[in-house]
Amino acid sequence: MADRYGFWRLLREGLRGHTGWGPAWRDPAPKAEYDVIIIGGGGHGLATAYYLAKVHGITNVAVLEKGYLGGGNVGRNTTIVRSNYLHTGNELFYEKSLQLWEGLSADLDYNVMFSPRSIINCFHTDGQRDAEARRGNQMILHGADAVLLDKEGVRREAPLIDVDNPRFPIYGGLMQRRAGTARHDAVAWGFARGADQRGVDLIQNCEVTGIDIEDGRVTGVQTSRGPIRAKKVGMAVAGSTSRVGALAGLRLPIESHVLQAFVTEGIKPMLHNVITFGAGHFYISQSDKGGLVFGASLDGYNTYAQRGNLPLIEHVMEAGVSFVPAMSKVRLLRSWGGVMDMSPDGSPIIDKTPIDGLYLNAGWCYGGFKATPGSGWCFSHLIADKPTHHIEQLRLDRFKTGYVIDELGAGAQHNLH
Amino acid sequence: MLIPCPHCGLRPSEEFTPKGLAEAPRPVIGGADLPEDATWQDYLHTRTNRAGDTDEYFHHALGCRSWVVVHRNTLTHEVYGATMASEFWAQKNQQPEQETGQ
Ligand SMILES: Cc1cc2nc3c(=O)[nH]c(=O)nc-3n(C[C@H](O)[C@H](O)[C@H](O)COP(=O)(O)OP(=O)(O)OC[C@H]3O[C@@H](n4cnc5c(N)ncnc54)[C@H](O)[C@@H]3O)c2cc1C
Ligand SMILES: [Zn+2]
Repeated sequence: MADRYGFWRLLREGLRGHTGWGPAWRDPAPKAEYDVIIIGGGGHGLATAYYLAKVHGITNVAVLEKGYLGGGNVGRNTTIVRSNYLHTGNELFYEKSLQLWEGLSADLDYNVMFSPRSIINCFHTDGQRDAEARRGNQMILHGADAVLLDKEGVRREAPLIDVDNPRFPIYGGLMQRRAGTARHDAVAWGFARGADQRGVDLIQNCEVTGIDIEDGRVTGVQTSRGPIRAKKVGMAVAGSTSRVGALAGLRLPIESHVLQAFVTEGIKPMLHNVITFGAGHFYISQSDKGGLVFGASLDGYNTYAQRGNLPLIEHVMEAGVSFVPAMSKVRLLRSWGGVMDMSPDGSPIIDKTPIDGLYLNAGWCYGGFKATPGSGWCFSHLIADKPTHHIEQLRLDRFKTGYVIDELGAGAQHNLH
Repeated sequence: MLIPCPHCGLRPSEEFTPKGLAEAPRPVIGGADLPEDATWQDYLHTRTNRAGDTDEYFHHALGCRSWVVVHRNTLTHEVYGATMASEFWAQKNQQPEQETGQ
C-alpha cells in the first residue's frame, strides 16, 4: 500500500517539512445504494466495516455517522482493555477481542498505543477472594491468563495503593497481565483509515432518520443526506440503540444511563497498572501524558444527556482517596460523561433482529471499548453470513429464553450492571 | 437533581435509589392463570427508552422509604413531579398518556 506509515515515511516527510501527509481518509458523498450500511461511526461501526472489507472482501459498504467519526463513546472512555470475565458467553468473546488487540497496531498500520500494563482487581474479604479465584480459573480454562496476588503482591505491584486501609484492608488481587489500555481516538482513526483504504465510504454528518422495511426485509435507510438503499443494515450506535431501533419498530432490552470519567493534571509516573477497588466501584490508571484517569459506577437514573451530576463525583473522589490516598494531593482537570446502552444482564448483544437483513450490535454498557476489535470481527462475520462461535451466547432472545449472562449476579435491572 | 417526594417534599436525588423505567405495570401473580412469558419478559427487560419525557421508579431509601415514580426529562434532567408508585398505574390507566416524541 502506497500510503503506509512507518519510519521511512516519517523520515521522508521530516526532510520535506511535513508537506506530504494529506488526509487519512476520503470524504465521499453517499452513493444511491450499498451492499451493507453500518449505522454509527464509533469504534464498533468502523471496526465492522474494516473487517467486512478486509476479511470478507465486502467493500461496497458505507458507515453513516450523524456527527464526526469517533465523537461518541469511543472518544470518551477510560480505555481499559481486558478479558477477565467469569461466564463463557462473555469470556469467549472478550478473549477473542484481546487477541485481536495484541496484533492491532501492525494489522492496521496505525499505532493504537495498546499498552498491556496489566489489570489488578483488589479484594477485601475471604468471600471476594474465593470469587476472584473462581473467576481466574474460568479465565485460564478459556485460554486467557490470570494470577492471584496476595496482599504483598499488590503492594509490590502498586506501592501507592493503601493495602493496609483500616476500614477496607486489601487481601490481594486478581491480576491479568495481558490487559491494559490503548489510545481511544487512535483506535477509531486506525479502523477508519483501514476501512477507507479498502473502499468503504465513511459518511459523516449523516444522521439515519428512518429504516425502510418491505415485507419484513430491510431495503435501505432515510438520512439527513437523503435516502440510501442497502441489502443489509447493521446498527452499531451504542447509547442511541433504542432510538435507532425504534426507527425499525423494535422495542429492545436497553436503558440509557450516564457514566462519568475523570482526569487529573499530569504528574510523574506513579501507577503502571490498571487497578480497581473492590470495596466500592472505582478504577484508575495513569495515561502516557501523566494524568490519572479514573471512574466508577453509573449515576443510576436514565438519561440521554452526556453529563452527570455532582453527588456521583463526590462519591468517586471519596472512593479514590480511600484507595490511593496520594490522590488527594492532585488536582482534577476535567470530568465528562457518555451515554451507555445498558442491557438487563450487563452483557452485550450481537445478533440478527426479527427483520431480515437488519443486524444489531448493542448492550455494551461500560465495557465496549475493549470489545472494539472483537465486536467488529464478529459483527462482520454475522453480516457476511459466517457467524462465529464467539457470539453464540450474545443473543437477543436470551432474555426470553432465560439464558442471560449476568456477570454480577445482580438480576434483571439495567442500572445495576 | 431535586426530587419532590409526595411525603417529604423537595429532597436531593442522592437520598433516592433509582430502579429503572416505569413503562409497564408489574404483571399480577395469583389466580388460576400465570402471566404469559412474553408479559414477564417485557416487564423485566424491554424498554421503549424514550429520549425526553419519561417515568422512572425511585426508592426514597434515605427518607420515608416509599417507592415513587418520578416524571422527568432524560435530555435536560428537568424534574416535573413525582407520584406514589402505589397510585401511579391506577392514575395512568384512568387517563392514558400521549406518546411523546420517540
Ligand atoms: C466515561 C466512559 C468510560 C468508559 N470506559 C471504558 C473502559 O475503560 N473500557 C471499555 O471497554 N469501555 C469503556 N466505556 C464504554 C465504551 O466507550 C463503549 O461501550 C463503546 O465505545 C461503544 O461502542 P462505539 O465505540 O461503537 O460507540 P460510539 O463511539 O458511541 O459510536 C456510536 C456512534 O453512533 C452514532 N449515531 C447514533 N445515532 C445515529 C444515527 N441515528 N445515525 C447515524 N449515526 C448515529 C453516534 O454519533 C456515535 O458516533 C466507557 C464509556 C464511557 C462513556
Ligand atoms: Zn419521601
